[in-house]
Amino acid sequence: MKISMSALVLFAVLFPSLSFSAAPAGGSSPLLFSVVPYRAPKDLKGMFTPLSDYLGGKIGRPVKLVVSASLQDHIDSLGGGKVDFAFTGPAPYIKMVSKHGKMNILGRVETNGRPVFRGVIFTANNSPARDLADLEGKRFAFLDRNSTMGYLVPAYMLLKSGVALEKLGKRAFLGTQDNILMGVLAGDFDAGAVMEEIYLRYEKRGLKRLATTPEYSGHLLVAGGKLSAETAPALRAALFGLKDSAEGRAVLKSIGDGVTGIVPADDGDYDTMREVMGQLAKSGVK
Amino acid sequence: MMKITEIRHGRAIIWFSAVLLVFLAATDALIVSQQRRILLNIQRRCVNNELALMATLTREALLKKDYRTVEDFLVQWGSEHTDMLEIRAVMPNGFVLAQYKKESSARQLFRARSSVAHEGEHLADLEVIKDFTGVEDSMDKLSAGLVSASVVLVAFLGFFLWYTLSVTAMRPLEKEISERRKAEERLQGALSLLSATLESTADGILVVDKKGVVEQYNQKFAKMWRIPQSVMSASEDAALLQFVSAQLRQPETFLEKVRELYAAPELESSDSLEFKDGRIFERYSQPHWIDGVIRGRVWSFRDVTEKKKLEMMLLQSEKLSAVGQLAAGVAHEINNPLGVILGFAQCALKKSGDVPALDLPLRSIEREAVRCKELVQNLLVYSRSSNKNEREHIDPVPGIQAALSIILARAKTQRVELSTDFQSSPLKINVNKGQLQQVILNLCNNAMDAMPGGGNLAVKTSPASRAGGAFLRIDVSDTGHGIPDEIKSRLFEPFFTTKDVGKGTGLGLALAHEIVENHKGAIEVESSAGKGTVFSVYFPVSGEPPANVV
Repeated sequence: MKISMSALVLFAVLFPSLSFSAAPAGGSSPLLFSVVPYRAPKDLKGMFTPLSDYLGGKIGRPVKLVVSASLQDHIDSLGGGKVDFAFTGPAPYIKMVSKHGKMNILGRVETNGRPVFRGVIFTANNSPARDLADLEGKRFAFLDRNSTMGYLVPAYMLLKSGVALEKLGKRAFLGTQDNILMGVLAGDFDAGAVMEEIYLRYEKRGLKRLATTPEYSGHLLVAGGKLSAETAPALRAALFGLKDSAEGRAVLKSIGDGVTGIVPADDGDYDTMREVMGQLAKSGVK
Repeated sequence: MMKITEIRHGRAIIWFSAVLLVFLAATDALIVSQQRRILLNIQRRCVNNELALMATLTREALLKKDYRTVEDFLVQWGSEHTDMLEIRAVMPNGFVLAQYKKESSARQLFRARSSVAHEGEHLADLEVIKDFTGVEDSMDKLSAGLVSASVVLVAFLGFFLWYTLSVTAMRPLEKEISERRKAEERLQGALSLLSATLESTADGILVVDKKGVVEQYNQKFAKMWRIPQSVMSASEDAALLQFVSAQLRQPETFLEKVRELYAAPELESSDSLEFKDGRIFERYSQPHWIDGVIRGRVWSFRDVTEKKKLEMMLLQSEKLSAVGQLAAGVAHEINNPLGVILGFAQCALKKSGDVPALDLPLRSIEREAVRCKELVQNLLVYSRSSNKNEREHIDPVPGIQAALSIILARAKTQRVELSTDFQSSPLKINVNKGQLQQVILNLCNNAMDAMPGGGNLAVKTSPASRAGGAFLRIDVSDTGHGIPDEIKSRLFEPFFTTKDVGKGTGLGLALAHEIVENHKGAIEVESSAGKGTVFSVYFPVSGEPPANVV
């Protein structure tokens, strides 16, 4: 029986159904809330269930949490109207806008009082690499082709350092930032790139920072095209009010240790990232 | 007795149960040890299988470099398996990819390790620590069960054995033992009775085997024959025969008889043995039969010395009785001629007043004739049979004087001076007059026997007080040779006498004692060797004439 249960658990882990549901409140149909899969589904559920519950309570309508299997699915789900709103990264947002047109930004994440974030390119402590140039020919672990700090920004920095992706010894997309960090620690990869916030959790286990990315506008919440005109303001108001209450601050803390609020944002806040993606595209990086 | 037997059986069963318990305990320990080994092997195989399954389930994730999934899976696996204390996934470079650890106070741990590989590529090592305390708990339960079962089995077997032995063997055996013990007790009782009987008989008994070796004897035998304990203990018939025969007047005759009897063990015989010291034993001898076989001979000796002496005394007494009867007859016959002599003497005296020369002879004839007549009258009174219960309330002095008159002639012959001292005021006693005279006569005769060369015989009466009562005391004292202390206690025994055969019957003092006792009186003696003897007789004084004569 235990083996069967374990198998089921493993199946659920390996092939996530992508659906974690919050308890429905009231009799109306729930809003679908998609989260970009930058962490393990289990972690994401723990991080965002409080927020979905909070928002459901605030707007008087149940909110159902959805974690996509991949970034592309995530992009397609929101752009295609399969979900009502989403927590996404800068690069996925830019690709959504590029593919589906202008999106209604509900707000962006403020970390330690600033609405930006950055990433880290790292190796194992025992790695001989000193800078990005030393990574030529090395095995590099990325997150996803649509990941901001898990692929696009690091690729851009490597390119600037003279290490085109083709010069890397091996490239792999591991799906989650945890996998990248553990892959480097396990010695399966020589280097990797993740958000700084997550890197710091693993650094003491044997990692060495090679480079830190510039700051980019942080993760954001975006409304889908199906979201009613009344709901978006309500959601935005609820999101902006998070920092004003203890309950809201607890919700923010569950998203990340340094998250201090959800603040207003517009599409222009992501132009810098959009430029990076343009440069990469010109360089043939997909 | 039954309790002792039961205790012995119980002890044997307890020993058996203890040995069985030890054996079962050892068997239990062996079983538990085997079971533990088997269970541990099974558990180890299970753990290895589990590890293999975990490796299989994590292999794909490792190949996909989905480390987080591996970590989550292993942590969840550990949390779902309560006996899993620790799981570690160690990458080839030593990095601990996943670790699950649980606090535990397990008594038995098992560590296992398995490698996760794919097509020759070593992906990771899985290490687990399992809690095998359950095995120990199972073994504890098994031990407790086995011990309990062993105890119950031992108790059951012990009871079963006890019951079976009791019913099938012990009870009949106990019954037989009990009966044997009872028989032994009866035999012991019989032997004890026989021994007591043997020791209580007046005969001396000796039992010897066919060779003459002493097998048994009673103390009377040794005492009769005056045989030292050393001789008896030696059990040597030769020494015993020598000691015995040396005491006999005719030892050769005795030894010849002994030899004859040993030569013919089936013979029974009896005879008399005369000792050098005058004793006479009657001897009886007969063979000792056991189951129709002669095993020895029983000798029995009876001391008949006193019996023989009594027989001789009885014969003498009978002679005296005949003489007494003859004397009474003679006295009766003499009485008439004496009357004639006295009558004519008195008549002649009256008519011879004028002849002075005849006066003295006639008066002498008259006086002596009167004296003879009184003597004869007294003899007749004494010899006449009287009713012992015929008593009179009388002054005893005249009766005492009559008795003294009988012995007066003997006193003169023996030059014994007879004196009397009777109290002035007479005291009356309730007495059979003839018996009173017999008491006085017997005491005076004994007194004169004690003074063969002459002496003084005094008879005195006086009032006396004994135990708060008034008595008449009659003292008969002599100046004879006295009575030795060693025979004083036997003076009043019938037929006890120190006189030569034919001179005394040994009945005088015994008769006197019996008469006085019958009158509720007492008789005492004081004597010193060479200084004489005083017999004091007490008769209760009767102040008033008896209301009736008994």
